[in-house]
Amino acid sequence: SCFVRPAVSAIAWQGAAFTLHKGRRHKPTPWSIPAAIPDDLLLGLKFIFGPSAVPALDLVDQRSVTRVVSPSGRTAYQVLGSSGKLYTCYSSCHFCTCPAFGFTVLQKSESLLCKHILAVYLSQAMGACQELTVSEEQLTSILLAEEEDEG
Amino acid sequence: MAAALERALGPAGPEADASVPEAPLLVLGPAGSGRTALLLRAALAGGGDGPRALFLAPSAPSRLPEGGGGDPRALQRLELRYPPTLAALAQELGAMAARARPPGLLLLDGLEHYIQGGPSAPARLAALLLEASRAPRPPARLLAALRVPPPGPRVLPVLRRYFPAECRLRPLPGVPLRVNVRLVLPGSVPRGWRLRFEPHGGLNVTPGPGDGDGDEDEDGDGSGDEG
Repeated sequence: SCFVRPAVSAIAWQGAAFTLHKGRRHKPTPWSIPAAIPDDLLLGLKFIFGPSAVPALDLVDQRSVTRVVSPSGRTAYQVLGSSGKLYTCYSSCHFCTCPAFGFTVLQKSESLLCKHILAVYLSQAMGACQELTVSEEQLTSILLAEEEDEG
Repeated sequence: MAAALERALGPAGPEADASVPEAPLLVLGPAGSGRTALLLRAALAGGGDGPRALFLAPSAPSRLPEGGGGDPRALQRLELRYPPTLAALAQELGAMAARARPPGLLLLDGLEHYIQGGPSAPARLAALLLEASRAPRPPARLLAALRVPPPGPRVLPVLRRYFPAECRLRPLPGVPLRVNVRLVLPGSVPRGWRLRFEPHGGLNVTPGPGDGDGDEDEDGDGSGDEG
């Protein structure tokens, strides 16, 4: 499949380069990020979410977020981390199986959320979630997935 | 959930306020303070016209409630189930979402029994309950009880992230079978009741003071009251 990275803009921030999709100059593909993200929104993301912002945007670019749905309509999210580990995020409240959520968010209260939860929000807003339907039992076991080790 | 509690306990003291925001509610109290009795009373509040209620606990309560205010129909809308493990509880919660007529009230007794595993265990349990209560449309109200002192120093701060409303039970020192109840809701004045457990199993409720006593260790977790 033709994976096209969004066009790179001029912004460099603390050594990290933001990518901005500068409008559709090519035929839209189903998974392309549909809209340009204005600089002030990116600034806002960085200001509020700090170190999670850029990694979350990377996860969105990589189409790492999957919305998992069961026949009864229950949902959960699975996020493929950079190391290949799969994390589970809940849909109706903040919970993630990654170690950063347990430590940085819950224990230290240093962050509002982890990069995976932020990636879920961004993917929802940008229509970049993959979709997967599973049985009720499978969804229950996804919700019960154990906390993953660092990855 | 506070509305159900107020229906269960009647109007509170002079600070009673008509607009009560609904929020997942955590009932805290030491052993023998009446958490189970309070949950069951909240489940049966409203008599036969109240919402369908699902009451979950690790094991059956030692005493089942009398009919709600004498209305036998109240017991008919109460379902009691006893999942022994977290996995079984998750199955019950999953099944709840799949029902044609999901309950309007979800009550869980014995949170401390289901908190197993690593440091995220309290968060996972709370999140599972919130997911289950929000999955049916319209969302169910949620009430969960935790015995204090909690099974670890990090449990209560984490649970409080998921349960904005809190109801604290405090047995009156030196007075057997009497408990002070204090309901704390976000953005609202705390309200209070006094409970008296009667020998034949009844529960007598009267309005009481809603204010706390300052820095007492209400949570039983060894530190002062963090509000």
